[in-house]
Amino acid sequence: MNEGAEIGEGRYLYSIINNGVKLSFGCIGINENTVYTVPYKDIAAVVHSCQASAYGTTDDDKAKEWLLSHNYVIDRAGKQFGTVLPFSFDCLTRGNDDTVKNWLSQNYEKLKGELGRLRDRDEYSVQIFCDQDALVVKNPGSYSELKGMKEMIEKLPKGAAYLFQRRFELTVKEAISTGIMRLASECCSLIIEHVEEMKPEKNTSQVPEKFKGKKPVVALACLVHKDRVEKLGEVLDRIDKREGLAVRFTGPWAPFSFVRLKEI
Amino acid sequence: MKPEREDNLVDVLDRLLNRGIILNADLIISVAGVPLIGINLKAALASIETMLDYGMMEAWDENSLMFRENPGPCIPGGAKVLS
Repeated sequence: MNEGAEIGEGRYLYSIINNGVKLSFGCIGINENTVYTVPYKDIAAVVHSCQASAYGTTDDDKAKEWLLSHNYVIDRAGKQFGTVLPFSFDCLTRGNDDTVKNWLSQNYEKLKGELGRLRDRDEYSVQIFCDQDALVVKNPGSYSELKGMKEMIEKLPKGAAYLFQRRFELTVKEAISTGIMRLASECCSLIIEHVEEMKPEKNTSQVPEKFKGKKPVVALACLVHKDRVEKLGEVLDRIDKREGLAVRFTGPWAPFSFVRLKEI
Repeated sequence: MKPEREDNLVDVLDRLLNRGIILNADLIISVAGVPLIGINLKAALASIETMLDYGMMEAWDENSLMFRENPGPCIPGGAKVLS
């Protein structure tokens, strides 16, 4: 935008719903803006009116509030109209409702297709953690090798013991790494039977107290049909009950990770 | 096991900044200079960076499909704006 140019009208985009209804959700949007739908045929965009300017702030609390508001609006629309296509934070268009309608019209087939593909499906997050010791102990080969090394080091003079101690630590690290890979592979093969799509999550979330000190094994975003959530829960329950393992299962979320609409 | 919706900020942040529909550049608001929200939220994520540095959290390495220790700063996706 050129400096000095007038900031025009814009629309902040929250989600696309699979319904052509015209309605208002009230003042539930970012900065308590009124959120409403802009319909086109049998779909609609969920928006609020604003200036054609990205939201920016130096206030961390304000930024957090905006993000939670964005998420809340997506959830509200989802509860009322089923699976929605969620927008990333801070997506705006220039112009007015007609701009949004034109955009819906140009992308109608893609949007309708995605809404159909993702109908009755939600995103869930699965994170699995393990006690470090359990990873080594459960691998008999590593465990006996490490036990042997430890006993040998205890009998060595200081200098030699130091050198072998380093090797011991590397072997432990390798055993843990191997253990994690094996466990991750095993868990993924159990989980994949009950989900439609599965992707590794890039970052872990803040780990709740009960998981602190445990080693992260795997973190997955899963697309799950609503009729299969219970079965997935049973599988995760069995994993969670295994010695040394702990499962964190969160959701449902709108299918952020599974929407196949980039740069439209 | 039933899924929980904790709505903690990190769960929400990761989804809202890095995923979902992203618009074509022609429709996106162009803002000269810096993506404002990106920088400010990076400050908000400083506590997460600290946790990463101290090994309290581990980032997921897409290549190896494994968690790796002390991966460095956590960079948020930022706003969908162009300079």
